[in-house]
Amino acid sequence: MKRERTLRQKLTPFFFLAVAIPIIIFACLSMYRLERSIRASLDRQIAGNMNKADQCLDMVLDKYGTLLYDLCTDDEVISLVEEINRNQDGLEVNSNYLRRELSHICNRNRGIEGITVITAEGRTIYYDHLSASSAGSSWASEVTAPAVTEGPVYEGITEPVTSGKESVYMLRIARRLVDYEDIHKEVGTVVMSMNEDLLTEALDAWDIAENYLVHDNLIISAPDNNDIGKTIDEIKKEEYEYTSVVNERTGFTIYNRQSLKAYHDTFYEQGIFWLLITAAAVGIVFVLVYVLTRPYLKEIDTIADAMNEVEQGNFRTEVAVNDKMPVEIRKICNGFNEMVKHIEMLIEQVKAAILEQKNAELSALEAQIDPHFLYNTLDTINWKAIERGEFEISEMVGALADILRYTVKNAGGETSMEQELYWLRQYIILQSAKAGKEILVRLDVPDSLRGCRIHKLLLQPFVENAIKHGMKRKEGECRIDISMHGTEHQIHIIITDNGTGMDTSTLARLNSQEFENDTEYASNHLGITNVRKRLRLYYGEQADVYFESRPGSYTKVHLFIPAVPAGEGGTRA
Amino acid sequence: MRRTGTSASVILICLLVVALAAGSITGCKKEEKAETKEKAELVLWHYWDLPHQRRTLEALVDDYNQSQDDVRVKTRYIPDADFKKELALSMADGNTPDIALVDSVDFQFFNSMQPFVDLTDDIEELGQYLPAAVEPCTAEGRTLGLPAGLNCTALFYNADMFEAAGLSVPGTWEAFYDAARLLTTDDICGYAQIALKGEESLYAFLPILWSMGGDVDAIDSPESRQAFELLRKMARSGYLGKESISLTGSDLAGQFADGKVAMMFNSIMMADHIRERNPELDFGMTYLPSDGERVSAVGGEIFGVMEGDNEKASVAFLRYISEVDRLSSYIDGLGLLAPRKDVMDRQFAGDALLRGGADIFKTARMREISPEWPRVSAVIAEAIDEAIAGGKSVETILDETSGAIRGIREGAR
Repeated sequence: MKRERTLRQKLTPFFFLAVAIPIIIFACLSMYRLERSIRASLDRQIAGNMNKADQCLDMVLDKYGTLLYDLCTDDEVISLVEEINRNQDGLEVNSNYLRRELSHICNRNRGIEGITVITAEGRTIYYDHLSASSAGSSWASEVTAPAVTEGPVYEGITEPVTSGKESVYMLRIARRLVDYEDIHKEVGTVVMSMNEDLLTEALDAWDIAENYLVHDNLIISAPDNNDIGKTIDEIKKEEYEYTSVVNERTGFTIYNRQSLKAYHDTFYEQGIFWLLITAAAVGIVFVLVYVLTRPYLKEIDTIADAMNEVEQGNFRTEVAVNDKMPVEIRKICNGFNEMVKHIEMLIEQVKAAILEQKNAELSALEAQIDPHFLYNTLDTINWKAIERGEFEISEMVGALADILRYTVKNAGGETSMEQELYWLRQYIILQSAKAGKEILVRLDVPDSLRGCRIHKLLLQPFVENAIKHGMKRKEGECRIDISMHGTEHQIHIIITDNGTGMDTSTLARLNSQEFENDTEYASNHLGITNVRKRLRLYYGEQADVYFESRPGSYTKVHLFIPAVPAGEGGTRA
Repeated sequence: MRRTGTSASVILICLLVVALAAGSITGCKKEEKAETKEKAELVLWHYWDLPHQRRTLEALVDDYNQSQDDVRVKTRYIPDADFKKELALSMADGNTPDIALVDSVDFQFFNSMQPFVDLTDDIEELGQYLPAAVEPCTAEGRTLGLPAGLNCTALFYNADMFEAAGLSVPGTWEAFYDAARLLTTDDICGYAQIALKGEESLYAFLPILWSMGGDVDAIDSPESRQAFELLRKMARSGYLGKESISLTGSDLAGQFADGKVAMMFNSIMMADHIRERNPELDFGMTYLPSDGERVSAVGGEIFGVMEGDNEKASVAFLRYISEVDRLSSYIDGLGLLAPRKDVMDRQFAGDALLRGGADIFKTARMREISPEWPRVSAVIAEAIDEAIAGGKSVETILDETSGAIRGIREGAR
């Protein structure tokens, strides 16, 4: 069984998808672009950083390399060392001069912690800037000459030099002493020991990254001196990216350690941002769906409630219509209200018909008290009258018995026009006898209409009224004309009396629709009231009656009923 | 419900398409890379300091750079005083230039430290070159360099001063001494000598030595001493400018052009420089004084190619500048004599002064061609300096110098 869903429930998922899908697609694209752009910017940053580190390293080494170059090609220094090599240094004059030269260089240039000259003959002459001594040094005297063929040789030292309390890491640059007049002559080698701090400064990448200088797979310069001597693998951590470049001057590798935290954070923040956007958009859509559908749903609920009311039988229910309503809803409400009114009217009509039927049946019951008794009595009276030669009485009683029989038998049922007219004649005989006046009856009925069906006693109240009111004070000939005209669907019956007529106000009342509501008047003209009710009951809106009169001259009753040919239709009573 | 679903799906698909289109537009930005061909760079070191020489060299190099797309030649000027050391040290460090323009007398010295590339088979024109030009760069029958040009020492004299003093151009050393004496005033120096320690100092001094019969290997002989004594005598008497010990060839030419010096021994290529600096100056260029045979010193520069990656390109450049028509087109601009006779004979047409230089060249003698020459030269330059400004006696100076030269000769053996 499929679950029933409201309009709102049906709409909401579509609105949700319509908003969420584009946002999610845009979010994905945006995240993708962002990722690429951050990645590119990070790569640029790393490349820039490495480039800068490489250049700064070159600049620092260039400065100290130039100092060393100048020292190694200084003609005076060369000749001093050559003198020493030739053992012409009895009083150490040359060595002392050289030491002074070395100390000058160390003292003038920050970062040079010592210079050691190893002559071709194997003598070591040095200056140790850390202990400011050229006579006693724990390390400068131990420096050995690396194999130098041409240019400078760079060597990172992973074991710190201890002098006093401080431990100092060094970078050594070694160079041959070159006599330009004979560049192949072995004069000696100079080793300059630079403080590793200079490298750290050169490689400093502020706080955005860390640079490491690696020689033979061992770190020789690092932001944290504790890392010196380790391999790059030993300091590797998660969340960091490692990039390397080889410094062409030294052959050392510069490792860049870039934290990826900012990169990940940005990405994460962007993700959250898009999530919030999606949530906000979806929220807004939900609110919009709720707010926009609410008035419609409210109206629809009202209509549904009204329908329920009507279902319960309350036909007084009406849906209030106002201008604020959308035109569609207004149409529905108006239609509903019309429909309910219509149904109510129909039901009222049905109710009235049922009531009339019941009343008629009651009347019939009353009339059937004991018809045989009445017939027998009238028969007896007839015989008595014949016995006594009273033939007029006999005729009256006979007519009365006919009337009784006609009325009692199937009262309100249908009969033929012929019979109704026959019965009317009998009735008029009785009435004229009762009034003591002869009443002439003139019939003008085409034969084609004589067979038409008509409800019993429908014309009787008009004849009765004509005799009762029109002829009561009439002098002279009294005449009642009954004429009929037929059309295809309707029969027009005109009952004319040449009685006293009636005044205009009475006429107006009789013709007015309010006539029935005027209870006082209706009780005085019960017959007419009944005829009208019966007409409505039998024929609905298809029958009508109106009166025409000129006081002292005549009264005409026009009666219109549907033409029902003989043998057709049936009684609705 | 079905209808609603269908139309909703259509809308959703439309949104999707729009989103994807937007994404593809932003996502597919092309990254263009510009490809530029990296030209190989040839570095040429030289020590030419005269403006017209530098201009001519730059124009020659520019023309070559425009003529082809493979390499770009770049020149670097290093002052003469540092040139020898700088080039030697670059050899020691292994970062030599691709081409070096070296003094012809230093060629063998450099070649002994690091051999130059053999050009014998690569540059056909070398066969046409004068022996005086090619000899300094020849080793074991192979030519290792391309001579750039030749020059020689000449006596420059200020014609106006001579005319004013009623003197004629000195032909002998005595006449020379007298002229210097007579022309010296408070403002004007009668004679000035290039004596800044270096090869140039020898270039100016050797013709004096040779003219008096002296020799480098007999530096303490009476003949040789005579040459030093002349300098000493002139310096002591003030006819030789004391500032000489700090003058290079072009410095001295400048002073001469400014009218501060009446006579000087200098390279014939200075003539253009003097004319450029002081077009009004009336000066002459002639043979050096002599008591016997007239003598001058051959000077010149040689292009040497260093071994390395750019060897071939360097040789191509030298081949370009050695083409005979091209050589004719630039050699006058350098103020040098062409290293080949056919071109030299056509040089400086209509310029009597410079044409005279070609005649003087005929008296020019070559300096020693040996690897140890720069050291010998340095020792003699020291002696010249000492003779002019020092306190030691000429005899002592020459004894020491002689000993030093002997030491160098023994060491070289």
